Amino acid sequence: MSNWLSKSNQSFSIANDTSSTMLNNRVHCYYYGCVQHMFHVLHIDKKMSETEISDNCNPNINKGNGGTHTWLAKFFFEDLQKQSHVFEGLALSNKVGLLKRLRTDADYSMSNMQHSDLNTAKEHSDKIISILLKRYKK
Amino acid sequence: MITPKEFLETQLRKLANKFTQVQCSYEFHNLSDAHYVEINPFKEFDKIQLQEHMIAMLTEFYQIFPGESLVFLNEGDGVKINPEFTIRGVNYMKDWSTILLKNLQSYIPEPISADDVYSDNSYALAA
Repeated sequence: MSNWLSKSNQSFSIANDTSSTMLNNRVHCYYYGCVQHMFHVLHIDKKMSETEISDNCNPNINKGNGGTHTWLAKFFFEDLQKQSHVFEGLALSNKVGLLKRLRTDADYSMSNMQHSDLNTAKEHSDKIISILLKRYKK
Repeated sequence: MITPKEFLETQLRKLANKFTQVQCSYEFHNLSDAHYVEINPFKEFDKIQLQEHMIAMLTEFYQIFPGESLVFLNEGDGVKINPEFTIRGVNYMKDWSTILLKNLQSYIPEPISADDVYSDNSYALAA
């Protein structure tokens, strides 16, 4: 198991901890559990080194990539297109964007996440992970 | 140089002309630094022709604005946007089944949290 997969599993353990009432943190962990799983796929399936991944996520090095989250959504959209899984590429890209929005609201806005937001975050996260598990090496 | 918002406004007008039963709303969300386009109703959003149109639009968007994010959503995605503009197809909400479904949705009970699960018994109680 790569360390990114281990980190992803830890994030989902926190996100799925039903005894925790810290909904903002749980939404945060649904998002980063997905990001860490995407890093795991890039490393294991796409054979990218940690430096390559880091450089692609850095807008100062790769100006066209737009940062970690924009690059990840774009990379998987285009990669799934190449594999002829165009609808899953669109779904994954959209779900990443929706989960990112919930995560930024959870982390940076004045308002608190509600149980309905947690439900939504879990649904989007489950969809992202199901596509990654279906189309890439575990 | 065209801005992402101008590009999307032009594209969404074309989309609403082609898929006349939809409504498209746009918002740029500062916190997540992304462009959000909500397309309703869901039964149109999920159609293959419209999905293909979204894929083509996203591909072109990434070609012109490689450092920007574009996200499509619909009313069933659990995220509310604050639209900067809305464009409606001429036949939006003219289908009675769409109007009926939209009104009935407010009467359907949903679990309150991700930790709640409805048993058969609780459905009976809700009914």
